[in-house]
Amino acid sequence: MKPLPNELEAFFSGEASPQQVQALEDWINADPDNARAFIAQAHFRELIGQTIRHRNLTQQPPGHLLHELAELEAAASAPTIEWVSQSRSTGLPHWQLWAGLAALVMFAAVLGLTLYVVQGPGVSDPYRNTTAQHPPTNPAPGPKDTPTRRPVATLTVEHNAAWDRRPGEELHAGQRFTLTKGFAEITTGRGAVAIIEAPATIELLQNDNAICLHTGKLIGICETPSSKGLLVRTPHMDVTDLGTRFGVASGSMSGTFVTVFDGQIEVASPDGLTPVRTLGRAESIAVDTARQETESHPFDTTTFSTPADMNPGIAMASGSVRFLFVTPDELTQNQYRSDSHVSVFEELRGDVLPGDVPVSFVSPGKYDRMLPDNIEGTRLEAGTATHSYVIRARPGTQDSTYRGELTFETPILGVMILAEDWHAFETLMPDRAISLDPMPSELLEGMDQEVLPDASVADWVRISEDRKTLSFYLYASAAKADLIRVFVEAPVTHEPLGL
Amino acid sequence: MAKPLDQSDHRALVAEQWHQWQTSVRAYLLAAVQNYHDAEDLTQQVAVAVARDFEKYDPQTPFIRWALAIARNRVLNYRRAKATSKLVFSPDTLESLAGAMPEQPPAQSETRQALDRCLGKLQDRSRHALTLRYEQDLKPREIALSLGMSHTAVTSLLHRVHKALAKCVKEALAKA
Repeated sequence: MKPLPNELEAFFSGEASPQQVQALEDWINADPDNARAFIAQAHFRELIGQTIRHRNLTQQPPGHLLHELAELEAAASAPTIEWVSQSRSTGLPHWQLWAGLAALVMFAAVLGLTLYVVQGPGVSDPYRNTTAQHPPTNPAPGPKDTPTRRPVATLTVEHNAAWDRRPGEELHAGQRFTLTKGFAEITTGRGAVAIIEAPATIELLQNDNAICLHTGKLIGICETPSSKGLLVRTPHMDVTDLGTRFGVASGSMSGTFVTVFDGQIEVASPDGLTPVRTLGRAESIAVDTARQETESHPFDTTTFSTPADMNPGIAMASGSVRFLFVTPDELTQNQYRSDSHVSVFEELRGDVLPGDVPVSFVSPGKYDRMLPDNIEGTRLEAGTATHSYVIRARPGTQDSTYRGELTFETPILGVMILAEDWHAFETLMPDRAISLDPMPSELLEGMDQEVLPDASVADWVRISEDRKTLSFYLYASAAKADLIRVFVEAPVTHEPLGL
Repeated sequence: MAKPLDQSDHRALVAEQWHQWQTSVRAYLLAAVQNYHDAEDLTQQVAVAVARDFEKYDPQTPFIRWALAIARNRVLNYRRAKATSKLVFSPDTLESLAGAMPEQPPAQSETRQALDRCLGKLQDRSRHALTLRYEQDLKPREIALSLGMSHTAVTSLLHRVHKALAKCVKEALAKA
C-alpha cells in the first residue's frame, strides 16, 4: 500500500478527520514497514521541533529584550517562555518582534497592573481559583512583593543537571524550565531551599518564596525565619511550609504526594474548596488528579533521596554516599540497603545537648583499631549546639566494602562508633536520636571492634587536619550494618527548630 | 547469570537509557496523540513513571519496550480523559507502532546537525511557518490566519517543506 502523504500531513498537523485517522490506521496495520515508516515520520517531526526550538533559543538577539518579554508575559499571566528543550519564543521576524514588543509592553503593563489590583500581592496562579483561596497561616508573599521584573530565586547548586543553567544564576518570576537529568538546588529570595530532582518541570511564581511544581520531585527546606512560609503549588495541592523540611512529588496522572520529614506544613487544594490541613513530622498525604485524597499513604523517605552534597551542612561528598531525609524511627525498618552506597541521614539540627555525650574520636588522624583501649574517648559537653549525621553501611545482597568522604561546612566535634555510646545517646535524646533497634535477623554495630586477621577488610575512619572531612572505609556483611554518628559544629546561620 | 544490579546502578542504567530514548518516546507519543503540548505532557508523565519505577525495568530486555509499555498506558488514560477516541489510534495500532520502534536508539545528533543546516537553507516564510507549527503548536488553520494565507496554501507549504527537509537531511547524512 502506498504512503498516504495527505493523511500523514493532516495527522501530524492535528487536523485529521476521523476518516483520515481510520485510513492511516488501516495503512499502518497492513504492513510492519508502514508502521516503521510512520514511526520514522513521527521521529523526524519531533527532531524538527527540537531543532527549531533550539535554533530560536540560541539565535535570537537581543537576549535582554527576550528576558523582558518573558517577564512581561509572566506579569500578564500570559504563556511563559520555557528555558530548555520545550522553550517557546515568539518566532517572529525581528521587525515584528520589536513592533510587537512595544505593543506588548503597553498591554502587559496595563494587564499586569490590573491583575495586581485584582489579585493583590500574590503569586501567579496556574492552578489556583483566587476567589476561594484559603490564606496560608504564614503567607509567603510579603508587603514588598509586586509582579515586577526582578529575580525571585537563585540557582545555588546543581548535581549532574542536564540544562543550560549555571549556579549563581538569578531566576525570575514566570520562568519555567524542565530538568531532565540530575538535581538542582534553588534558593528563593527569602532563603528557602528547594532541591529539585529530575525529571521535573517547575515554574517560578511572582513572589520570592513560591514555586510551582508542575511535575517531578521537590524537597523544601526552610530553616530561617524569613524562609518560613515557602509555598509549593502543584496541579493538585498547595503546600505551605510552617518551618520544616518536606518532600513533594507531583505527576500529571498520579496526583501529588507530600511527606513531612520534620516540623509542620499546611496543605490545601489550589481552588481552596477543601479545608486546610496541617501535617506534622512523619505524616504524609496523597491526592489524585481529581484532588481527592487517596487512601492513607505511609511515610516515605526513599522517594526523596539526594546526592549528599545537595544538602545543608555538607559541603562536598565523594565515593559511595547517598543522603536521605528520615525520621529516627525509620531506621528500624530494615530499609536503605545498598551494596554500593552508604546512606547518610541528618539527625540533630542545631540541637543543644542536654547532657554530656561520649564520642570515640575527636582529633585529626586515622583510626583503624577499634578496640576500646585504642579509642580516643572523650565527651561533648552538655550545652553544645550541634548538627549530627548518621552514616550507615547496610548491604543489600552480599558482603560489601564502602569508601567515601564527607566534607562538612563546619568542623567535626566528634565521631561516635561504639554501640554502648549509641544506646546512651538514645536515652539522652529519645526524640531526636536515630534508633539503633535492630531487626531480629540483623546485627547492628558501630564499627569492627577487634583487630581482624585480614587488615584489608578492617574498618577505618579518618578526620582531616581541618576537622571538616571524614573519610571512611567500611566492610559490612549482609547480616549486619555498620554505623557511624558524626557531630559537627552547628552553623550559626541555622537556627535550632526545636521541633 | 548476570549479577543483579544494586539500586543505584539500576537507577543510573535507567537514567542513561532514558536519555538515549526519550526522543523516540516523545515521537511515539506525538504519533499517538497528534498534539505537541499533550505529547510533551505525556512524555513528562512517562519520565516520572520511569524514574519512580526504575526497579521494575529488567535490564535483560530492551529499554524502549518497557518505556513504550508505560507510554501506551498513558495514551490510553489520555484517550479516556479526552474522550477523543475517534481521533487517536486504537490500542491495536498503538501496539503496532510500539513494535515498529527500532531496537537501537537513533543517531540523533548527526540528524539534528543536518536538520539545523537544512533549516538554515529555507526561505524565511517557510521557516516562519515551521516555527509557528512546531514552536507555538499552531495548526495550519491558525497559521493561515497568522500569515494571511489560505488553509490549503499552508497545508501545501508545510507538506513541501517537510519533503524538502527530509531530502536535504538524507543527502547531508549520505555525504557525511
